[in-house]
Amino acid sequence: MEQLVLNTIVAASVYALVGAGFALTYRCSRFFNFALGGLVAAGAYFCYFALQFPILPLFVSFFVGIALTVMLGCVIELMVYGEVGKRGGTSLGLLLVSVGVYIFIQNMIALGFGNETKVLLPGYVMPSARIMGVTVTAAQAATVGTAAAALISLAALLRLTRLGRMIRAVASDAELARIRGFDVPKILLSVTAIGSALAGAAGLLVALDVNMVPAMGMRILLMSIASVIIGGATRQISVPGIAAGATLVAALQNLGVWNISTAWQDTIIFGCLMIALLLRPEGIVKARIRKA
Amino acid sequence: MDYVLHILTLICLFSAIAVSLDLLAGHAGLMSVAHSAFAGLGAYGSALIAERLGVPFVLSVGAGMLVAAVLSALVSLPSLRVRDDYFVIATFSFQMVAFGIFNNWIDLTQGPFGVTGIRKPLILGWEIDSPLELFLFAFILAAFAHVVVAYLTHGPAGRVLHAIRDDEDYAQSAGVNTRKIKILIFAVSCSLAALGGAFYGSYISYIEPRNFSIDESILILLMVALGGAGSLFGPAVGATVLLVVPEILRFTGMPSDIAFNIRQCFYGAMLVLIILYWPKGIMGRVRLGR
Amino acid sequence: MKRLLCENLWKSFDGTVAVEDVDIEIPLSGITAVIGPNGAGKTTFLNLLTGFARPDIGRIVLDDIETTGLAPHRIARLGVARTFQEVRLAVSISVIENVLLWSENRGSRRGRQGIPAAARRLRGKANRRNAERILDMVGLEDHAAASAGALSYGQQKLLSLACCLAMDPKVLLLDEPVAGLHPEMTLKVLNLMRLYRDQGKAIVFIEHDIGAVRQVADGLVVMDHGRVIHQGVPEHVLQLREVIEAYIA
Repeated sequence: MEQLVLNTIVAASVYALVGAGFALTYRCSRFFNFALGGLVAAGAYFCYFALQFPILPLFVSFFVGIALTVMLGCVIELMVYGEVGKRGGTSLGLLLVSVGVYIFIQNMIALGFGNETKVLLPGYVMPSARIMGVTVTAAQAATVGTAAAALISLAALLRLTRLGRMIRAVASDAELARIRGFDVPKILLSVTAIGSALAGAAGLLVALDVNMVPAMGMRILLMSIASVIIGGATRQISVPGIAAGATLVAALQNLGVWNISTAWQDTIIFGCLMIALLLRPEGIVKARIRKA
Repeated sequence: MDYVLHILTLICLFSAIAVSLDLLAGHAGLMSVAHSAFAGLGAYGSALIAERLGVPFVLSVGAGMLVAAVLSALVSLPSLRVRDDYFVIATFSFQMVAFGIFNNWIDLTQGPFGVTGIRKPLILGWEIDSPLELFLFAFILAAFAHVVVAYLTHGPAGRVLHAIRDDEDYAQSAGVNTRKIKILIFAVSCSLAALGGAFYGSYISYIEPRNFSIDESILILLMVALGGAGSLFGPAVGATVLLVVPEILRFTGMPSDIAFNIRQCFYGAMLVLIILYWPKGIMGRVRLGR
Repeated sequence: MKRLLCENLWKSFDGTVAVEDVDIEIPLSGITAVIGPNGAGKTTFLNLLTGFARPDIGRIVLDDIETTGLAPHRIARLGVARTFQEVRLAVSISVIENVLLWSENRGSRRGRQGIPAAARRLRGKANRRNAERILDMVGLEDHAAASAGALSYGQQKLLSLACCLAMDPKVLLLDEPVAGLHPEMTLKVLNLMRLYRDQGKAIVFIEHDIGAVRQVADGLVVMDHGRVIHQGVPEHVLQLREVIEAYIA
């Protein structure tokens, strides 16, 4: 039972991290950005790549990996989405483009690193501790800690800083923000950078805790989207909403494993995602066209 | 020669599935990434009903199509109110759920092992098993699908679909029951995909969940996008290109693992580039994603 | 006598009241204009009448048929043709196809739908002749095969009117039919409206252009802040102080 709780908390942390990134980009650019899933995998694999250079200390490798992920995210934003925006893209068009980007990233990773499942630190035995009757590994503790820190920082950023105010303005009404003189492209770029970092960190943490495979991002992304939608954070960026949704999805998933076989857990979540999508009124609002 | 017939047969089958997606996405304006799932429902439905219940081919295919049509309502009934990109996500989820069922309901579908030994088509006592016969049958099937789509996209029916695509409020103000039409078109489109899938199963004699995954749905979407949405023969052109080119590349002798990844990279890049620079594709009338 | 009846209509959006306690009776003959300053609730009122918005409270009765809460297409099939403030058309199909769309989907006694078109081949030729006649009437006959999206703004407005006529409705509800039009186009539209009225049909139109209103309206309804503040004949109503003030305020 306690193991179940631990698994739920760890999974929720991952979904909250990616969900926060997704919610940010969704609110600001108003489209479902599937490339974020690619950035999750990129985070894990860029770190793997950095670890191939033994001169770099462990944490510097991680930092390099995340930094590369952020760069990739920004390149996509500038060169792909920006281009679509210039040509009058709709949220549907951007969604399709982002799916294309995701497929490209996933398979490039496979070409570069192979399709097989890998371990990030082979031969390394993760330190662990026994807390309240369960074994908690360092990776799991790091996952929960990172998610908590990230969510709190994000909430603080949005509430207390100038950048946060600008992001909230764009999230609320990008056209209006542009008219009022905000540098919307730059704000979108910052949002992309933050989202990419969050996604990359999630990928890294999952790779540390479990393992890594090029297709890892899609599943995590879809769960995170489900979390955000169920948590109501598509209406406005609500950190508690993201956390709540992530916990609910993770709980459903792990309860599902407990009662029903592992294989079905994803199917159940996708079913819940469908239901959540159809019940959310936000989906009825007419699409706005994203401009560069 | 048999090899050429094989490719042509596949082109016919995929053309049928692609044109049915175009009916939905190009003409009615309802983008979906679940079309391979519906083809899979037709394939699995037909194969399993034929095997378990000993039903003749025509009936089992019909049953597969019915299953697809009924399950399409599961997606369309609740989700047609929502904005188009949310609808895509709903179809995305359905595709994942369907794949999950194909892969995990081992008792029914034998999961990852797939269904083997699917019989060749048997119509009125005539077993269709030579490559030429199979190709001709596939061609007739594709022709049938195209005729259905042509009928629904011209004349009064076509006007209704195109009006719904262009401006749903306008269509409603003209007296069109847009919700009912969308549900009907979704069902027709999915049953045509199921028809293609059912015959595919019978043709290859073996189906597995991987044949009906999200990657395949994206491939079908790409066929429509490349060939051109909203035209009648665009999807067939797209299907031809996207089936022939990988076959040509196969002769370069790349290990199949790498070949798969390279192909997927191309598909991803193609999707991006088409929407960015070539939304009408080769001969489309509608700009995809704009 | 045929009439359009609204009882205690209320409609709010996100806490703002758009239509407040509208209780009127509009005769279904002749031309009635609905005027009022921006934000008076005129378009919301039209949307309520045509089913594009659902009243929070109240009922709407059209020619003794209750239409409250019906879907827009059903109200259209009862013989209510409307245009939109921002011109709405099927831009990817041709001019004549747009007109045909309306004649093919209007309600019949049997209430058939648009897609199973089999039994309607006989009506097909009649529809086409009718469509051509209507395009002649509005002056778009030369553009019959052109894509609706390629027309100018004024031509598109004429096409919207033509589409409504093709439905042969009980009542035409027009949202600012002459807004943004050149004087000759405006005259054309007003003449068409008069022609239609003289054939015994009813028109209710929203308009800002008081000159146009004076030229064609038989009856006048004035709205302000979501309420109907006056109803009567134009000559009388347009002189009332409150009405003039509502516009200047």
